[in-house]
This record gives sequence, C-alpha cells and structure tokens, in this order.
Amino acid sequence: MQIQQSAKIHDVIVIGSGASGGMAAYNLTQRGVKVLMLDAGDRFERRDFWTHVNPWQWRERLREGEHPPEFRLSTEEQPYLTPSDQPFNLVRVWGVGGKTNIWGRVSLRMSDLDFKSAERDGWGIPWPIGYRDIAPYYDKVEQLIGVCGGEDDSDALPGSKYHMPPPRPRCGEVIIKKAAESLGIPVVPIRRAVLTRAHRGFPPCHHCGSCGLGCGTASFFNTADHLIPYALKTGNLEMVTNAVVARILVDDKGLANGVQYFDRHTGEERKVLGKVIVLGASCMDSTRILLNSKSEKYPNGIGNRSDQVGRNYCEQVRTHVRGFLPQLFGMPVSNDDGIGGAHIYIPRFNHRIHQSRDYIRGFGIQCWGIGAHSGTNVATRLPGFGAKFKREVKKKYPSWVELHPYGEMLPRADNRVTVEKNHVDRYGVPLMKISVKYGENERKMLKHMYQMTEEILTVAGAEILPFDRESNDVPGTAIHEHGTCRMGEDPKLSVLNTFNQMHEVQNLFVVDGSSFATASEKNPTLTILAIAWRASDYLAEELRKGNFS
Amino acid sequence: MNQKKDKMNRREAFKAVGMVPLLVSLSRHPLVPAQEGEWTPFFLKPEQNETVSIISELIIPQTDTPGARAAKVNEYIDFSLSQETSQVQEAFIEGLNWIDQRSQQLHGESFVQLPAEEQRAILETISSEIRLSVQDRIGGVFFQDIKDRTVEGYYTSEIGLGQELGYQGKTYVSEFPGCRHEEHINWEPD
Repeated sequence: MQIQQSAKIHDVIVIGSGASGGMAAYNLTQRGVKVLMLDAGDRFERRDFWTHVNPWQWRERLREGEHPPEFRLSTEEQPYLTPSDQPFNLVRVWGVGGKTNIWGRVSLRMSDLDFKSAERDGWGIPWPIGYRDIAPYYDKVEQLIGVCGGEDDSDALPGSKYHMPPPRPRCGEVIIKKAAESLGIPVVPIRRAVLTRAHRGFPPCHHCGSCGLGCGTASFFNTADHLIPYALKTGNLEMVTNAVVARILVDDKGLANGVQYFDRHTGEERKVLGKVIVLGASCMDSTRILLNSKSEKYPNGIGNRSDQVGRNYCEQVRTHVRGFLPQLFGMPVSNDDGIGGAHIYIPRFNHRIHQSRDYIRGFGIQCWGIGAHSGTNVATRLPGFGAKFKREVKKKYPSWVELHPYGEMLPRADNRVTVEKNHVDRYGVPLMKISVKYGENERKMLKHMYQMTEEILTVAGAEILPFDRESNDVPGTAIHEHGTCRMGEDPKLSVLNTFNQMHEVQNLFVVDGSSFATASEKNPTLTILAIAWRASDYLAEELRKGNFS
Repeated sequence: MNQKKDKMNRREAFKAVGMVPLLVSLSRHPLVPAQEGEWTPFFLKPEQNETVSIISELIIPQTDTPGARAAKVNEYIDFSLSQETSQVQEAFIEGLNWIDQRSQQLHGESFVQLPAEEQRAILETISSEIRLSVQDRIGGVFFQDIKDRTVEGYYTSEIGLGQELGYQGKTYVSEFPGCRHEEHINWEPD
C-alpha cells in the first residue's frame, strides 16, 4: 500500500485533542502559531448523547436496538497486555476531546506537598517546578474553563480567587461533614469544572446528572466544546481526525521531524512532517508511541537513552466504603442529582494527625453517589424478599452513602509500560504491555484509608456495609495514570525538563499526565491543563525567537 | 488471576452499575424490534416464563404500589438471560428445574400450581442467610441470581424506580437547593 506523505512541513504537530493536546493547541493557536492536530478518533456528536434519558427509557431504547454514545475505546479494537497476575483496567477515549468527554470534572490544585514530596521523604525525584511556578497557570486555567468551589485554602489544597459558587451539599453530605469535622478532619466544597454560572456563552449546569452520557448543554469543561472551536476560529488550526498515531519520526540529527499515523478505518498509512512535535495522547498511549518510535539513534524509543520512558508508573490506589445513614431513613425522596457526583471533599489530612505513620504520602476522600440515585445499589444489598423487603428498600433508598479514598501510589522503576513486538494491533504496531503492582507503602496506606473512612462513617452513625479491608480497585481503575515520561532535573532519572521538553530531543514536548513526577492523591486534570499551558507558552516564545526553524 | 482487560463478566456488569449503563455492551445480539401487542420470550419457554413471573412477584409483590409482574420484570429477566453466556443460561435453567423438583418432592405438583404460601415457603428455605444444606445449595445459588435480576428489572422500571421509590432525577432543575432539613443541619454526632 502506498504511504501517503504530505510534503508540507507544519510548524507544530499536536498529537491528541484531550486535556493536554487540546490546551496546547488552543494556547499555541491563540498566540499565532500554526498547528496541525491529530486525534485518533472522530467527533462525538451531541445528537447522539443520551442526556435526560432515565433508566426505564434506557431499557426501551436498548430493546429497540439503539445504544448510548460509546466514548470508551474497546479492547477488541485495541487490546493491551498485562502479566497474568498483574491485572490493569485501562480506559481510553479515542475521539475529539479525549477523556474530557467522560471525566469526573474534579479539579484540584496540587501543592508543594506534592511538588516537593521527594525532597521531604527521599522517595523518587522532586518535580522541577514548585507551586509558585504553576500557580499563575492554575489561575489562568480556572478563569478560562470555569471551576466551582469554596474559599478554603490549605497546605494540601491551595485556595483560588476564581471559583464560581459551589453546589450546596446534599443531606448525607451535611451529616458526613459534621462527623468528619468532629474528628478534626476538615471537609470542604469540592472543586469541579462544572459551570454554576453562565460562562463564555455556555449555560450553567441544570442538574440532570447525565454527565457521563454527554452533556446536552456543554456545561462542564471538555476541550471539544470549550477549546477546540476557539482554536479553529483563529484560522491557525488544522485538524485531522481518525488519525491513529503510531510513531514519531526522527531525522539524522536525532531531532523529531514528523509523525507516522494510520487512518483508523481504512488502515492507510500516512506521514506528516513538522518542526516541533507536542505529544498529548494521554499517559499510556503517549508512552506507547514513544517506545515504538525506534531508530538507529534511539534504539529504545525516541528520547529514551535514559531508559526512563515507560518506567516509574504511578497512580492512585482507591477503594470504597458504603452504607446507610439512619438519619435519612424513610425521608421523602428529593432530586439528588446536583452537579452530577461529589459536592464535598476531604482533602489530605494524614500529615496533621499526631500519630506516627508507617507509610509516606497521603490520601484524600471523595463522596460520590450519596443520596437517591438511579442505581439498584440499595436493593441488591438488603436481605430477604417479599413485602417486608420492598418496604425496607424504600426506607433505606434515600439514605445511601459512600466514601472513596484516593491514595498516592509511589513511583517505582519496575512498574512500567513496555511494547511487545510480537503482539501487534490491526495496523501492525506493537501493543503496550502494562506491568504494574502496588507495593508495601500502598498496602499500609490502604489500611489507614479504611480506618479513617470507617471512623468517619461510625461517628456519622452509619450502618456500614461489610467490606474487605485488604481489597482495592484494580490498578488503572481511577484513570489517573502518570510517571512514564516524567519531568525532572536529572536526565538520567527523568525524560523531560521543566517545560515538558525532552532532555534528549529538544523539539519534542510531552504534555499529558505521563509528565508528572508524582501522582499525588489529587485528581490530575487541572494540573495537566496548567502544565500544558505553561509548556506551550514556553514553546510559543521559543518559536517566536526562531529557535525551532 | 485474571488477565482479561476491561470487560467484566456480564453478571458483574449488571451488578456493578445497576444494570443500565452496561446493558449496551451486551446488546450486540440482534434484537427483534418490540412488536405491537403480545410479547413472547426470547429465551425462556412459556412455562419457565410463568415460573419466573411468579417468583419475581413473590420477591417484590404488589403493595401500595405495583409489584414485579406489573413492572414486567419477567420480560426484563428473559431479555437479560438472552444476553448471557450459555454457562450462565444453563445454570439458571438448572435452578428453575430445581424449583419444580422441590415442589414435586414436597407437594406432588409443579411450582406454578402451588398455593402462594407454599411457593413462598420454598423460597424461604433457599433465601436463608444461614449456610444451606447440600440439597438446598443449587436452590440457594439460583435464588440469589433470580433475586438480583428481579431487583435490577424492578428498580430500573418506571413502576419500581419512579412510582415505588419516587426517583426524581435526569431532569432539568434550575437551582439545586441542597439539604434544607433542620434536623440534618442541626444534627450533631454523639
């Protein structure tokens, strides 16, 4: 098959249209830079969303052969490998907007507890940036995208002057907050990239809880609605969809000079040339692309003479404790959808408790699914049958409560992504293999996560459902992958510099979550947006100075 | 340990998210479009469908709101079974057969012919929380399965979720009021 190659040399090629690629392309085009953006998938059409479709309507539609929007990439189309004793749940979205189409919208600022954690406890490497480097970018991101939240400010969760009003807490959240605070544990309004006021022409959230199925009014941040149209309006953005990037190409000087991709549907191979490449295909896919970009100069993958690409994977270990709050038994049911998901958050507090801990780093606690929702979670957990069972379900239905602690996983060299040349996808590109397992620090932290969550629920008077205090979600389930292309000062222990530029390949930038030196306990997307903005500011300035001609 | 990726088995899929969002991944099966008038089962035989209808109504009966029969839970269970692996389907049918065998053994009649109290009594033995005897074990596993399916079918229907539980979501709400109950706002831990 003839490989199609365009002769045009683009100034910048951005790979990926999600949080990182989308923000980089937006910022660069605003600043007059001409960008070619490639995304592996297509646009998700609003008319296909199932906003406001309630569960009994679902059943009818499914019976008639309709189906809701499928954002997630299937493993039939793109498998991945893991060792048989190391399961991993990988979620990917190939399509315009990437995972910002389905994300949880939790938007938390990291602090110097994160950026300087390695300096304090000696594990891993410190970030080459501190809070004061990134704070101006958090400010800019929040003003651009709209984040609701409170006025709290702490060493674990820095405050912001730019929050829109947070949503009011639900009944169960009011009680959880009082219970935690009686233990000296602060509870704050959570910060979400959900509009609670009209912003930039987008209407505020109208509390229909359909978020995961596509928002009919574009009231939560995603790059497809909120950034890419504005990038296109500048006239500086060219987009190619259904472009599955396989490799970054290299010239004989060892600089990146183009991208090889396959048409997702026809399988035709294409090449495009560029002076600078910005990779934002999401941690795992970006890592796979880098490792597959082998050449004489880089036998281990482009920019990987250090053998750090793919290593040092980190994420968040997560679990759940659930139950019923007797204060809410038999209450008349209200509409608990709110802004879809959590309204309150328990920021990391373990560093303030005066007890010695046998683990390092920390965890935060989120509360999703509190109140009366559409799942069958209450009924499936009550014993018996008959009229008495039915009455019990109705009584307990409004009282459902669940807490989800997220704990920081430490990076380790052996937790890694590799590529397997003997297992290829439909385009002949080696698949990724993910070899990850939790370690001792995670196990010890998990114990404390259960202990504190149970204590809060006990003080709240909850009927706690039985749980296994050694269990946790399968790695990958939190969908917060990091570390495999991390930034750092030392080129032997890191891949990128402080501006997300590869130490070894100065015209290749990696701007997604793979660039994080640590995973923190906090959700990453706000930080990804800030880092991508900062990196693309630096790149735009370097281009203006003529450093990449 | 399993090496399978993000595809939970279908049973877990139903349980994990209260059925509805993952049902889509199971409906690759070519479906007969909903016909006008009479519904006929995809998977269950007519007598099996009747047994399932009776059991589901015993699990969630009519009270001041309609029960499983009115909510057509049998149709939901039939559809959900039609999407399962043959292993799961066979186990379910084995369980239905066990119910009739137990009924014959105790009363010389099939389950559908028994009066309600005797039907209920059979379910009582196999729904018990205490460890079941060997001869009841198939029944116990079956009961858990059909109870799960009944619960899923009922509490995602308009009758179950809308009328019985009073669910109000998935609609336009201009301002979210949050908790306005004095007893919660003033609640203090002991």
